[in-house]
Amino acid sequence: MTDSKFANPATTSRTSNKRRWLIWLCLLLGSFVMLLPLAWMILTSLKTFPETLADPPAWIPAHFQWHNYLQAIRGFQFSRYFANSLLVTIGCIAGTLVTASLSAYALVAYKVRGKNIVFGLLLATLMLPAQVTVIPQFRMYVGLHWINTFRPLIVPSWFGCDVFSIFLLRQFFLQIPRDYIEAARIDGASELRILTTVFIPLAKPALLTIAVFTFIGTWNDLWNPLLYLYDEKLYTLPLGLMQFIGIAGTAQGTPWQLVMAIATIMMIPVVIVFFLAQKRFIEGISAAGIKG
Amino acid sequence: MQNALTPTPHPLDAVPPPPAQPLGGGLLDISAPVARRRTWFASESAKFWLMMTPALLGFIIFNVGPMLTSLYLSFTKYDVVSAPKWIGVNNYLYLLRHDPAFWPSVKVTTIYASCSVPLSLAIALLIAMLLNQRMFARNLFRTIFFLPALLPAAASGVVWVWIFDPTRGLLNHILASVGIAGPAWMQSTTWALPALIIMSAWGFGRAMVIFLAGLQEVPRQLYEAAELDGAGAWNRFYHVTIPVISPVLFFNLVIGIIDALKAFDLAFVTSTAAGAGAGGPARATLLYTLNLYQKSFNYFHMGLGAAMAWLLFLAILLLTAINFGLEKRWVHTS
Amino acid sequence: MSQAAANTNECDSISPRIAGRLCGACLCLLVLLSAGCQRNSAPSAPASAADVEHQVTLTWLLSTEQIRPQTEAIVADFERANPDIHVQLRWTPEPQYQTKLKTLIAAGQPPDLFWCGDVWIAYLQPFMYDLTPFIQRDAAEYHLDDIYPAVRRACQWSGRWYYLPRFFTVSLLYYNKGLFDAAHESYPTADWTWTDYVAAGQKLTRRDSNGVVLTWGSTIVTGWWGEWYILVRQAGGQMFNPQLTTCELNSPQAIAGMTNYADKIFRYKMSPAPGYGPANNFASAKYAMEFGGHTGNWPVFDAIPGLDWDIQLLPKGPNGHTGGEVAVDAVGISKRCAHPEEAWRFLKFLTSEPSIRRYVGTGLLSIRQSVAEETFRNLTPSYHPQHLRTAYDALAYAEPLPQSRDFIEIALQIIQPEVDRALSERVPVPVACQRATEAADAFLHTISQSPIAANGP
Repeated sequence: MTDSKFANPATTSRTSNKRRWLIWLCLLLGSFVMLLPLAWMILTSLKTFPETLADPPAWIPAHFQWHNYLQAIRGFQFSRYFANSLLVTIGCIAGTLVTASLSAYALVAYKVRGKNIVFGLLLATLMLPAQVTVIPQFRMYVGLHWINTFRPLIVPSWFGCDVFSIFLLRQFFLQIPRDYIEAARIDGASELRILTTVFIPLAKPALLTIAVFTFIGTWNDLWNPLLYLYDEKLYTLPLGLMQFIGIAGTAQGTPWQLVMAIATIMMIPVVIVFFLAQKRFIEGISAAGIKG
Repeated sequence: MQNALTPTPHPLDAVPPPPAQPLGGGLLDISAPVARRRTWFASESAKFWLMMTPALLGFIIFNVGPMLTSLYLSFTKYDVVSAPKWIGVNNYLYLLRHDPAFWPSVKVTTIYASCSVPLSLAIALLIAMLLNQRMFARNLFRTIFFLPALLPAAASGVVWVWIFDPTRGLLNHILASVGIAGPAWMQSTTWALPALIIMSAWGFGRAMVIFLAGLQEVPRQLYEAAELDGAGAWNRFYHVTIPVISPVLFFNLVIGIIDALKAFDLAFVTSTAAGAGAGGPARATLLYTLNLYQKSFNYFHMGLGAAMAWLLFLAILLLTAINFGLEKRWVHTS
Repeated sequence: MSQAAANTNECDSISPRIAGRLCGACLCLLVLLSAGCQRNSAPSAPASAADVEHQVTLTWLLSTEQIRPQTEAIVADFERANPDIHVQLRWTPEPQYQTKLKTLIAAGQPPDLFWCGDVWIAYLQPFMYDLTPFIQRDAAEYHLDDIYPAVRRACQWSGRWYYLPRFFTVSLLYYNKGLFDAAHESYPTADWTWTDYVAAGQKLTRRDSNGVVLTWGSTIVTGWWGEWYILVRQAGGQMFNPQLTTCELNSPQAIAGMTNYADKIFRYKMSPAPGYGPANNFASAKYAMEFGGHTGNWPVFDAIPGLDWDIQLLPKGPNGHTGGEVAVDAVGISKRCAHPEEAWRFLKFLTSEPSIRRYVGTGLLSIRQSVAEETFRNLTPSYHPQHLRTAYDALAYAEPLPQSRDFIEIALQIIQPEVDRALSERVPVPVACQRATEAADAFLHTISQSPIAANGP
């Protein structure tokens, strides 16, 4: 990502160093504010139960209760929920990547009447709130006996239901010169081969972006597991966390220190994935997101 | 490569650029069907439709079909265990005239959207501008500001409930140390919605990243020229930055409004965990989608839920159409 | 063009890898889908091969609860005594329980056993197995007479049995002995009236020199009907008319009861406005009393060191009514259960003396008089509450909730917001009650789901 231009109205090449330092300090302060809730979460996860109820609240626990994490994992069936979340997430990422690639390529590589109408219709579904389709979808799954399985969570992503990804990838593919397609066709390559050998390698940032977005969205999804999963054995992490809060039924009895421990653990994979993919990911958004 | 200074093509207008130079010396024209096989299966059309099959199937099975069924259900009384019973427009009449929760939830959602969207965008733009220069640990800052957007509502929701707790929470603790008696936040009918708006503004990371991308394209020369003309920082911002990034601003605005109208997760988690019951005290945080969820999945008024869903969809369509209509007025393309 | 070319050079060698990854992903998915299939298949077989052909599996849908270890222990005991039956437990978060249950019923896959109670019976009854013939047949062996009469009544609907009780909850008056001692006040007695309660509450509300409250006279339960409904009934009011066709919350008695509720905050100043008091209510040890409460909180109180608490009958209302709410936690059998006889055996075991003893060990109330008497005999001086017998005496005065399908929706979604506003925004109580009644009537005449059925005996 280049920023050789200082596109900031407050600073130009003549702005004093003092001003730049001031801005840097503001950002530092802002960072503290942003991280405060997270810090609170982690610190609370290390308290004892009476400490969480203390009034006035204590910032830092007297002794760090690291065993809270062990207790949370054991009592919360963490490994099972983690495995379930991972399963569903990988299934969705695979599905999204495959269908988005196919659809974006189709939208780009051919001149067909009605292509733009198809694209427009797909885009319109972005505006559709989930609630419009959820009840009939639910009925359909009931009829198919898919309730209480992972299928309602994974299968839609294999049928192009993530239009944002199709949109993003299409924008990216549009930037690839048509000569490439022609050359490959002349060489006798099949369409699928063109897709996999020409387009996909060039669109790696966009694909990574899609994978990361899908990962975050699915990992954090509460709505779909809430509707379709009834067996505790199948729960994903967000649902398991909600269940954990509901154990005592009332806010009084909730073991907040364990809840925070679980929330902290839940956050770690997402942060790791984002951190690793960060640079390419932001490139992906900026290069293709809006401007193309 | 296109940038913000060239006209932003409307998605429906976008066509691939023409080939730079036809290979094979012009003997082969890409728009003609491949000459070797004459069956329809070899034509461009066939390949297109074949490749689009998964997405089209998904569109029909998971979107169009359910939409139409949902429209039908909105005219019935349906509680899942028995067959739907046709009752005409009674669901809509109940919602618009008798339901004590409908209009409050519309009001709550409108306030929520009209406050949280500008707030998030303003913060996102501000931080993006501050970040858009070389500095020490810039990548780290970028990650930190983006981080909250990565958290699941289930986790961040409970943390926020904790922070906003009237007696034990961090926020009132801080306010008390400067002498202000903090309100009851999630349990107060006046302060629950502002609390929710603040919580949602925390996730401005996505908009910030998109602004960062847009700001990349503002050429330095424009700022220098403006400065030479004697423009101060604010004038430079208003007359140079805003017009140039207006397409990006538009995008964030449209997406932001749609997301705000569809918002569910945070309101659900926070009002359940805060002990005031889902929807907050006296419906203070009863977002439209929350009302819909309760009616459909807690009390099984499925027909009513379908009617609510369709009303929401129409509202979103209308707002987006208005936005696109206004686009020509204030979004600059040069 | 150059950038694209540069990318191509760099990425050419990667494309087969990507294709390979895609294939790998597809394989993964196939594995996942087949794994999903397996989860859906028949439940796991038992270890003992000899019993495989004869074993009956019953599914029981439960909401996650604090007594989970006890429930699992009971199930283990049952399976040891009845090797031909396996009970599979399915846990679900409490707020989503009814949703899950009804959805499973709609999907044609109802669990064999599910949780029921006197409020839910009104709409679950069509899906429940009628237990009356079983009860009549096995009454003696089951020691039916050992169960408290009030609990027996609460288990019947139009004279028929649809579920068996595990334990019950009842409204009580809780008090913090330490705070009473510090203020040199005498403890609540069984013949307290509302006036006594208010007087004590005001005396026990202590403020410091700045007017900041140190301890409150009483909690006020907000967010659900737990407390205000008792006060309405104690004043002689009701939520519905006997036919359950109209809401009667705007009657003078109901308004009087609701006014008492709001007065605790505004007139007597013995309870904090919602959100302004210590968050964990009575467990914070900053409240001298709790009106109504919930017996499920007993373990929470016991976990607070230094909280010396006890119970008493609710103070009599203006009409002389002492009655709070009694609710029964019970389990019923699905009408579509393939093995009702086996399910019945399990229900009997679940509510037999040994099982009840397990539940009582965690602080729950016994549905059986014999077990209750045992606990009275075994009461240690450090046990809380010392007046355990009072909880059972309260049964005689308590009333169950109206058995209407709409009760919960009307109470929580239509009436509760008006009550919230009366407490938070000081909307006058008669206005709030009137608004609530009008909205509830509109509901009952339009989207109500009840075929109105007669209450239990």
